[in-house]
Amino acid sequence: MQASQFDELAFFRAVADSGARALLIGRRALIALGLPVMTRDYDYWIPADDAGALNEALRPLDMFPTRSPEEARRNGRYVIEGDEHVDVLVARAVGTIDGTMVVFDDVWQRRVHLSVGEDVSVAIPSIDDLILTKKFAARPRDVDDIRWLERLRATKR
Amino acid sequence: MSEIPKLTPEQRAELEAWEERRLSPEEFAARLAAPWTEQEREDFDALVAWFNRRYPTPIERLKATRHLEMQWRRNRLR
Repeated sequence: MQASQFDELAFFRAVADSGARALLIGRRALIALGLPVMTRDYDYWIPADDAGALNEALRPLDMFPTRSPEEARRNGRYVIEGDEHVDVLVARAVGTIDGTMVVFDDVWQRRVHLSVGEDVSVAIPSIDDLILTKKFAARPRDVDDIRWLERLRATKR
Repeated sequence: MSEIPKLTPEQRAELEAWEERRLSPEEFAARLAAPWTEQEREDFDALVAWFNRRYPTPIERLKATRHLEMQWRRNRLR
């Protein structure tokens, strides 16, 4: 396997400039916050109306969607692939394993921006909301991530 | 140092399926409620402090872990 030429800063700039309301969730968000975890992929959560804008913004980076925006809206998920793999959750709201309905618009309102370079920032959910997103899939590693996020939140207070 | 065990594709698939499984609400809640030991808390705080000292900005942290992930993937394929 050859080393990827993927330019992560250009990727984040393209997402930020796309006009899409795209929230970085998953372990990349944890890493950006300061937690040393490993992951292969980028995970984003977007509202269905913004899939087209996100897809178009990433085409110049040779990253292409596996579904059209309409298919993505119906399916609730799709992937944008190139040198890297981006999982995109497309939903207005998602339920957690303990029955809480998490609404994208609310999470977007509470988002925080992390600077990743000159004039480039990444939008991520607040720590409280990131914990809720970890209750969507409810896998064993999501529990670990929640425990780490709770500890991080406690140390930041 | 002992060698990393080599997994067959079937074993790897089984392991990944196990890791990707959805927990029951009861199992999820029980795991979440498990208390930290003092040692776990200390280890966690020390690891996070080191990580943030070594990589003080979000983009440095993202780049470092991406690099490590690629190294790990390359080694896994050998």
